[in-house]
Amino acid sequence: MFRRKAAAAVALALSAALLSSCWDKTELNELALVSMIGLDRDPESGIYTIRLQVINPTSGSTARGTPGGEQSPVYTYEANVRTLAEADLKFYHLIPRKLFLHHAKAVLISGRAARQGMRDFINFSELQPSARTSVPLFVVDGSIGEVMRTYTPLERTPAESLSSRIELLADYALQSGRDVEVRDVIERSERDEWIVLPMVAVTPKTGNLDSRDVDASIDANRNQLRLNGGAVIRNYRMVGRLDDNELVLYHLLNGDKGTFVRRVPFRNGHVTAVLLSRGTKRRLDWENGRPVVRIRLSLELSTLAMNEYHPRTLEDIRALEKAVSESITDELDAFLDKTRAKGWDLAGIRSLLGRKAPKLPNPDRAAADAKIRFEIKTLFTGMGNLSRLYEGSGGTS
Amino acid sequence: MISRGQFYFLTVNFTLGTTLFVTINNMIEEAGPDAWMMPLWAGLGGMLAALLWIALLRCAPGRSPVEIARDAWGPIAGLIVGILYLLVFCTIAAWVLRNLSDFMNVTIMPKTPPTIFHIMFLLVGAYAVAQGSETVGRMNAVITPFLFFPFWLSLALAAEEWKWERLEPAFRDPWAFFQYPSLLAFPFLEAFALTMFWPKVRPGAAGALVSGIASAAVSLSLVLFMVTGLLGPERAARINFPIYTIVQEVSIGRVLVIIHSVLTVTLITLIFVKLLVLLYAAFETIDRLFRPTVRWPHLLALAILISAGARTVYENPVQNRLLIDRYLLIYDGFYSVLIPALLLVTIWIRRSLAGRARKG
Amino acid sequence: MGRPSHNRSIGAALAEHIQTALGSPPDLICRSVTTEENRSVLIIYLNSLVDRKTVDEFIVKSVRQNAFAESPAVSGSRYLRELPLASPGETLREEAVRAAVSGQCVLVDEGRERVCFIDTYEAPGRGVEEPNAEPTIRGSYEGFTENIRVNIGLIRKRLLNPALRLEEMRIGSRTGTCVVIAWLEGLAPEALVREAKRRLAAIRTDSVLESSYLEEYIQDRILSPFPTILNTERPDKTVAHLLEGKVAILTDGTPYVLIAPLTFFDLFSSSEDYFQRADIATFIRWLRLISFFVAVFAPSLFVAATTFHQELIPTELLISLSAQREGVPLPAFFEVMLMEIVFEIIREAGLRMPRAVGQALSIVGAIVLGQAAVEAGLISAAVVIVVAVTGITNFVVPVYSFGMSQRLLRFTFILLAGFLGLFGILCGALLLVAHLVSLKSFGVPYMTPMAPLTKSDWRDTLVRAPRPWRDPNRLPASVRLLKRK
Repeated sequence: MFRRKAAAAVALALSAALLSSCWDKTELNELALVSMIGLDRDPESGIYTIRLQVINPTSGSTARGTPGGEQSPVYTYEANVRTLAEADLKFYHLIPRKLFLHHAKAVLISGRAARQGMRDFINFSELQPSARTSVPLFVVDGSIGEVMRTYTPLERTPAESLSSRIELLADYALQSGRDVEVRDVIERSERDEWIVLPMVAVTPKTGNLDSRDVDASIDANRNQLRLNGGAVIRNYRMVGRLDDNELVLYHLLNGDKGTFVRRVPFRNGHVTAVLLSRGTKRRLDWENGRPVVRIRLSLELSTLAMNEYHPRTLEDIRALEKAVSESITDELDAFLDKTRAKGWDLAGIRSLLGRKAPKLPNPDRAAADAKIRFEIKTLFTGMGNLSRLYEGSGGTS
Repeated sequence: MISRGQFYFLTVNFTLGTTLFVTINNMIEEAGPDAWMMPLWAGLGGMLAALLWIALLRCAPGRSPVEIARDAWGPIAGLIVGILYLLVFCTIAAWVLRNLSDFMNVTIMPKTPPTIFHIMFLLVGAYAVAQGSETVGRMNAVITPFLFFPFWLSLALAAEEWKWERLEPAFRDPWAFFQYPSLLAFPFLEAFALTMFWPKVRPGAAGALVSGIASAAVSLSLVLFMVTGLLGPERAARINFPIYTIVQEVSIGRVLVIIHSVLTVTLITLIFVKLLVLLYAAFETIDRLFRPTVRWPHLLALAILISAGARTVYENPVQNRLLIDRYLLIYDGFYSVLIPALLLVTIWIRRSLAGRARKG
Repeated sequence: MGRPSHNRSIGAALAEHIQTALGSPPDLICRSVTTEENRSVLIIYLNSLVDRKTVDEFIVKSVRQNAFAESPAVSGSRYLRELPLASPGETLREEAVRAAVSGQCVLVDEGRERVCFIDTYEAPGRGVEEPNAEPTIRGSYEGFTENIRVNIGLIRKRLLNPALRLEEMRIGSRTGTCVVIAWLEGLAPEALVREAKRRLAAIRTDSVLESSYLEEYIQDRILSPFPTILNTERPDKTVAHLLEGKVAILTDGTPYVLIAPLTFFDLFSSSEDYFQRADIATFIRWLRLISFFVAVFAPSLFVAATTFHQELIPTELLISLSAQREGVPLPAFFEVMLMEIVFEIIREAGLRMPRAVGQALSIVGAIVLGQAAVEAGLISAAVVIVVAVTGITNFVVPVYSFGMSQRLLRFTFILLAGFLGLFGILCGALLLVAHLVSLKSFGVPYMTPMAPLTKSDWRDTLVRAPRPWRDPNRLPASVRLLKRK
């Protein structure tokens, strides 16, 4: 009898619980899927401007093949707040759905906010368990409001377009790398290292920007976003920028793996080398009490784009490899000299000293004094589909 | 009867239990990149304590510690010791549940009332305990592969982010453990609850217990090693639930980008195992002390007591941390080291007296 | 004729007694046959239950030639049993009535003062056909029938072995159903056979119309969705289990034979596994395990993912799902629940309904409930897919009764998922594991060989190892456990 009563009690309790409200339950159509977050802070008034780009699920062609008509694929909401915590509340004046940040694909921060320092933003986001930090962080060159209001062709949302572009840039131009996410900024800043983030700018605008007319235009170079150089960040603060060419050298030093193209002086002329970086190794030595950092880079050389010259013998190859190594060494030396003169430690010397010689009395001075030697090993690995170049006289070189 | 293998897995999972969720950031904060050394030292201490318990349990085969206390110190003192143990097991169980609901509330289910988590786990646990020790052992054996593989697989998937630099400078402070001895208490001294299974385990359980503690210490060390290498000591020391952050940032290819909910839910099964063992220990204590004829009323009462305790065991995470840092070693040391040692001494003295009397 | 006349009246009285006891049914035949010696022998039988040919050609003929008079009484044999006519009236009468209703011929030989019972039972029924619920592509097409004697024959024909033991019991105070326990002497653990007999003997019931009646009495635990005794209508499967040292229980009147003990992983093996190549069989077994998980967990995981843990869904899919949900009035939980229930109703209707209407039903099910509901915006397309997938995977499992338990579990898990998301599913799964490991089938842990772990038995659990790699004399762990006792 007791058994039966107990079972009944348990069943009642369970059904009561089941029938009561389900606390964390949200239907899909109650969610505002945020795809991109824009952060800005006015240095004078101290007012934060947060922009959210929310996906409009019914727009665009879905897998079902029904186009959603003339609706915009994303909507940008904007809130001006005194403290970041207010942003949530402010957005509910505008958005009828629950903010859902898990699927954000990109975080943008305005150049002026990055120069003031982004620590507050990052602390706020790390406090929220729903915000992932494995999202790429971009610094906006120019007006962030304009960037957040710009469509990108082909991809459904600008955030997807940006995140897939940094991957392509990393693989095919080495102008980007793996370490461009929010978590990398946190880690590098906490260890007092330097990091370079990609920068976004708006391309020139034409046409009627208030409608989707711009999407109907064939010229995809206008009215869209462009990745443009890199922002140098130290201690959550942007301190300068690199151009596209320097960006390659930075990522090479950073140990990112990817293909890039360089014009290399060779036998009284220039050749175009396609290079694949295979990562770096750093070693710390001491010479007369002065730290010497040996940075070993290994590169794979291919003649895929080399229409000026074609190696035939082993000697040719050795000479080509040597020319590439020397040229890259020179470029890196020049790049490091320039950045070290500005006080930037993009090669990570300071943190290398901190790791390998933690008991150094004055690591900053030692890092500034450190001598850097490059040991570049280039290995010829591949050629294109031609075993000899065509030799007619109609060329330009 | 529980087989040695099942007891071994119970020991491992019990010891890892809440540890993976609660103290990882504290350890990394104390020792930086060398944090992975700490569980090794603490594990050694835990093994020594386990040897003490084994010495005690071997004095009276087939008896649980509660009965040994009654045999050695008489019915009244024995009863008091038994009730104390009952309360200890309940307190730790409540603590475990509270850690669980804290974790769930902070991470994937912020709005669900903590009591719901407590009650659901307690009901399932009570059902398993009501079926007896065999069910507990077998259940854990069935669950273990489902825990082991997803957990290590997700850490392996995250290994893409691995950087050796994060573990440098290494061995700057290998003795950091001695600044944070609470690690000895939680989780290693808490493993005393496992001795309540002792009479139900096939012979040779001593090896399983000691090697279980050793494996748990090594796994914990490996987890710390991975967490440090994946998140870096700076972030890992500041984030409340580093394991959660790791699984949050794991992605399988380009399609399943965010799988942390699945992994999180899988991992809290470890907490369930710990709860299960404690619930069993508490119920077994009642069973051995009072020999009740029915099971369910007592289990339900225990569940109510523990779920109430879970709401009140600490007020906020800061208090939790202070409790662990300051008092836990003394608390657990009293129950897991002092009382067993005193019992052992009593038994030895009695035996030598009896031996002398026989000679005389 | 020096016989006293009161004997004649006893024979007539017996016939009369049978007639009144049965309520003078039209199929009760009472014939008087005169032997060569000019004695008259009364033959009483139920016309509908006996083999007329045997009665006419064998019994009547032998009685006429007085052959029975010479043949010695073979004691204990059910085909020929004799009782003295002078035995106590009550016993004789009861015996005679029982014999008549079980299809025996009652011969009252007044001259020899004997009553003979000859088994001439021949029940109406169908012949051996292909098993309906467990068809295979390769392997025997024979299935058990409703006739227990045919069933025993089907087993014997595959097992030409003197060690085959059959023991008959009559269960059911009103139906008096014939139940036969079969096992292989020397192979089946004695404890198992003893336990099976004990449990069957302990049954107190008035009727046994199907083997499930017995199953409910002899299973280890009543409150469980899982079958702890296997039922099959395949003779080859039964023989395979007998060869593993298990016990089979045959019930007259049903083609379903019970086999015990049963372990969880037995539910995933079909007899065809052993007729296919080992690698293919292994693959199919894995497929069944996966289908089990899909059938039980897919709808609940869908509910949990779409209403609690949207972060689990890849972005593109999430956008597409949320576009589908625009304008759908029901919460996802009710959507799934509704479609599952509708699906169950269609399935049940399909089972019960005359074959000819089947086409109409499938049209209604497929077009009206699927497509139209989606197009009308009542249900999102994804839910239809999820329900369809679970419905199909549910049929993959080779044991029908296990398929039913999967349906129950599925609904429980949907409820839990709608309540607490993945955490609810976890709690349900833990409860399920606790339940499964605590179940026993005739004393054998249900989850053998997983818990308790016996590694050697994995060869025929998750994989089906080729026969030459296996020790033919090794019994499965479940049976070995009982042998040890």
